[in-house]
Amino acid sequence: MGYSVEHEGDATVVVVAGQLVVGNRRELKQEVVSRLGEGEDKFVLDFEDTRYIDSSGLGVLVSLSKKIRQQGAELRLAGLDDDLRTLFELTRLDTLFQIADDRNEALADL
Amino acid sequence: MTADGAPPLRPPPPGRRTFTFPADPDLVGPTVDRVMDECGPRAPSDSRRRLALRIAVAEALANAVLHGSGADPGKRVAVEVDADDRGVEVTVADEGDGFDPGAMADPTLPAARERARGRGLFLLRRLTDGVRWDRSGSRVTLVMRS
Repeated sequence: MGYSVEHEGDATVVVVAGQLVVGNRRELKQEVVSRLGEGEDKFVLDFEDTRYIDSSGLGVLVSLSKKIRQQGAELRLAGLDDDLRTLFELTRLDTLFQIADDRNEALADL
Repeated sequence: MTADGAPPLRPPPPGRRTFTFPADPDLVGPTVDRVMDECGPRAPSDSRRRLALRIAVAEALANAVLHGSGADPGKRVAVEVDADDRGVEVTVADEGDGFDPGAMADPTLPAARERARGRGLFLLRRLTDGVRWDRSGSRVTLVMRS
């Protein structure tokens, strides 16, 4: 995975490229947890350029969701393609996360 | 012959291939690529089913590396790819003590939904045409028809 971090207004947008899988999931978690610790409180995870997410990646997203909520911060997911949407629906995680069609919709919702 | 004089690439012939790799999480991705290459045209041609197979293979390999081998690169994970005109069977075996697949909780139940772990086996079952474990639980076979 490569990922990049951008700021849009007071929101932090993390763009996840390629895959979010067992070999690289910790990088994303550390990045978001670190920024949460620095007081950033609005996060968008943008999966527009993400090919797939495995169960370890889903686990990290669940873990981040809990941490962000416990800190009183907010999280939106965006840019999931049909395959990734199906993955979230299969695992019922579409009921746990707030999912926007794209980054702009996610930012408008924060 | 191709333009550069090399023989044309051909899909792997039907049959059974086996190999092993160290139980290193960084090797799961490249090993998924290798398995898909070994499946060749006998993997599903439909793109969504092909993606489903890819995800299921990744889950089986990750389970073997993380849970069966404790992510210890000193241990090895064995992979067998059996491809023919009916489809593919991918078997992944680790050196661990195994587990009881029937004892895993359904991760889609509300009480389990916020758990970070436990979705791998669920995805194996949902994304393939069949999953078999041996008695010990340390060897799993995924079945995907063409």
